[in-house]
Amino acid sequence: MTLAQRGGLLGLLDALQAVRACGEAWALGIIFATSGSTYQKPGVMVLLDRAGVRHGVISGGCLEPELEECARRVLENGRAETIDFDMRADEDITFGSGTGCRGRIRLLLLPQQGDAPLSAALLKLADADDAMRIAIDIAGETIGSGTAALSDSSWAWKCDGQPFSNAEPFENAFDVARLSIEPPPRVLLLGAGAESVPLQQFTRQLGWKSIVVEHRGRWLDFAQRACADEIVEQAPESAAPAWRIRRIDAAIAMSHNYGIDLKNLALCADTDIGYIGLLGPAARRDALLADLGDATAARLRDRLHAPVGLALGGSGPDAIALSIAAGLQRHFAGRA
Amino acid sequence: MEPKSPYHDIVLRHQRDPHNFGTLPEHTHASEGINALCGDRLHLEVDYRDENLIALRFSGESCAITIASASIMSDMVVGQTKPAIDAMASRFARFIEGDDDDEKSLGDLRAFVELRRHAARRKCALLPWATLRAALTGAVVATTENPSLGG
Repeated sequence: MTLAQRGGLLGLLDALQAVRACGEAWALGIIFATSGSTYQKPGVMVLLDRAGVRHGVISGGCLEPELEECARRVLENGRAETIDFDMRADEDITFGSGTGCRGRIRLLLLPQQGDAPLSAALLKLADADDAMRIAIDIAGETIGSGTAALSDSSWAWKCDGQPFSNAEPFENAFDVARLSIEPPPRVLLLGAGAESVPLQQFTRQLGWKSIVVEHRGRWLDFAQRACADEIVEQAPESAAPAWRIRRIDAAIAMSHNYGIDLKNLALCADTDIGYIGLLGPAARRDALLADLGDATAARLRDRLHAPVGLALGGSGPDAIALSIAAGLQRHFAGRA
Repeated sequence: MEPKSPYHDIVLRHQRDPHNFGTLPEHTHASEGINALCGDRLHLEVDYRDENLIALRFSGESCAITIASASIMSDMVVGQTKPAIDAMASRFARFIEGDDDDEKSLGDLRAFVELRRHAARRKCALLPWATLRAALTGAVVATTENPSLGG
């Protein structure tokens, strides 16, 4: 099966690893402030080299030409710069981006090379359980210098992007951008089925990590064909210790088997997972909740999305996968 | 929101009612200006005889900056020789890059001073000039994009 390119932060980290391996310099763009209507929001990153954007977007294509011009300058001078894409005035429609969005994006472009601490720190985010806190100087002589912290690790760099031993490089605390970069959402798929393959394509494109728990040979084949990021080949209760110690952003009971879904829902009820989905019709959900008992059902109630997914209509594995992915996207975007 | 600049109005006036827009059946030279990445396309026809540009018409679909630049250029180059046109084009390029602050004799082209803040759009203003210079040297196509650099 041809796998879709990974999206979101994971896609950027894939590109970051590739560009590091090439041994050439690159520029990392980080949106640190926005207002009004903008295509992307603070914390979104884009990777550029001398030829232009290598991975990521900050707009529908309207702002990238100017971004690329600036990135070439940053790479040439080895010095960070900020760009202010101000699309609020009529002049921007004629002379600038031409978008008419009436928003504003402020972005920092940082020169990076070799083992640049910021890029090294970001690569740790792929499998992190916590958010990374980043602080970067956005003005003055030390523009571009900053620090990053993730769990017990920390990194510091100078304005040329290279390592800095002092963890307090800022000359002016008022001109510091402070960002919290969340790790990629991690989705626990409890059981596999025909919808696993299209669902995995969506999770890849949206930049989520997937763990599939499946021990039944016939259904395991679906998980393997889907190329999930991780497959735990164990029955529900045996598998639980492995995923319970991880950060899980969403879990979906989707085994197509009443008894297995019952066990997985009971296991999920004892966690703090914020989104728990259940595949199947409402009557089946009600029967499962009744069998789980009042206490367990009460622990699930505020988090349970059953039937899982947005009610888009349609039938078959592709429509079901789209519905599940849409529901998850709404949850991750804070719109649920 | 910032107040609207007078330069904005100059560009919009030329975009909405471009001078010398159309075709020139008796033309001696012609060229196509294409910036494929941003979608600008300009067809330019010129009657140039005895070291003198007698008439110019242009057509095509482009952004406001390209159309306005072509319109303003079409007024300025009539009666000029090729070396004079080359000099005007070079001066205009220096002006929008911020390397020449002298607005004298630029006429409405001074409206493009805004492009000093928008480097990525300079190629739009320069496309008509590059197309005219291409036409006068016998080249069929001109561009101000660098495809290897994404524009």
